[in-house]
Amino acid sequence: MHTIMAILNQKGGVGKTTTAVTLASGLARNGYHVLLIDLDTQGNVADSLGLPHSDDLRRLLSPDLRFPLEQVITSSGIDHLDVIRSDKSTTALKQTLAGVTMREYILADVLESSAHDVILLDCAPSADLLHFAALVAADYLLIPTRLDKLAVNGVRDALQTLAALKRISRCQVAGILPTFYERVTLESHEQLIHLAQTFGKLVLPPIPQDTQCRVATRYGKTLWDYAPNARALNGYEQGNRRVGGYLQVLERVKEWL
Amino acid sequence: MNRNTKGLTSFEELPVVDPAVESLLGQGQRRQDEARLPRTERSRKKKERERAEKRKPNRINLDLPVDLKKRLEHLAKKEGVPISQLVAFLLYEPVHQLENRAISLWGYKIA
Repeated sequence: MHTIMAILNQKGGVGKTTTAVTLASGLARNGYHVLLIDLDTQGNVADSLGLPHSDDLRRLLSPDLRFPLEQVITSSGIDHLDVIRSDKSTTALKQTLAGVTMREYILADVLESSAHDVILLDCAPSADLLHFAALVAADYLLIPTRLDKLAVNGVRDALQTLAALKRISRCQVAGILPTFYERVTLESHEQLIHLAQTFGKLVLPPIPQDTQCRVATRYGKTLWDYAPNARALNGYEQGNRRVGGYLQVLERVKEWL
Repeated sequence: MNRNTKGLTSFEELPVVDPAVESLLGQGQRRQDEARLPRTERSRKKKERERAEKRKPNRINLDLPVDLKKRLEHLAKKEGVPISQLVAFLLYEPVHQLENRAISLWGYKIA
């Protein structure tokens, strides 16, 4: 029995792919068998893992191809972590799927046979068909958000989309993940208070702003491999403990599995 | 966001939140409060923080008998010195004696 988690925010540039890749590789390092699926036409999951782009997703979902799941899965090069990559062909896939009946269930159906423990869906920053299919397939929704007004509005939009699908989706909001957190700026502080006041315990430990994330992506490596001491992973030092960062978020995610 | 809108940004009115979020918000709030202080007060706080930061490597946590802890607190208050200073003063002599084997832990060791 696997757990499916969608990582989604209709706003772009909030750290969805970094979150998906870091959590997927973190879970894999903890012994979980993880499948990471890229639902974005930009194919950034492949870039982040140093893999070439491929039309894995189109071959899996296109009604005229429908390759079996095991034939489109690629090893990421990291133990226990498999990926299904995406590229520009996903745009054509979405057009093809627009005429298919029961298209919202397409991901849920193909993932039923997966033997992985955890499946992470890295969604595109748009409310498209694959976005809905991800919310129908997922058990949990994780919403990364930058700490600025527009991105926080994106959280509201994601929740509205989920509410609109409640008749066909069993997906629950697992958490809202503040990213690009800067503890010295007033805007970050106030937006974090705003999020905490609105969503309470759903707000996860923030991810500090860290250029190592961008550099790791450039080298096609995960943060765990490229910069294990990065602040985005380990959080801020506070007394004799660390606060925030993906390491702490990973512990929260493991509680949901 | 209106920065003066208390209802939206007041740290005191938070519902139950993740301990990590609460901790970061507490720190952020202290920074904001400090930023509103007059310059002299701000610089005093900064120096205090720097001094505390320098003392950090010398800090240790000890488990003491309750009555001894109370007596130390009482003495420190009476003498008008920080408890760390008092304990350091009281420890120098027995530490010196123990190093020179003038005293021993015989009968005091707990396995």
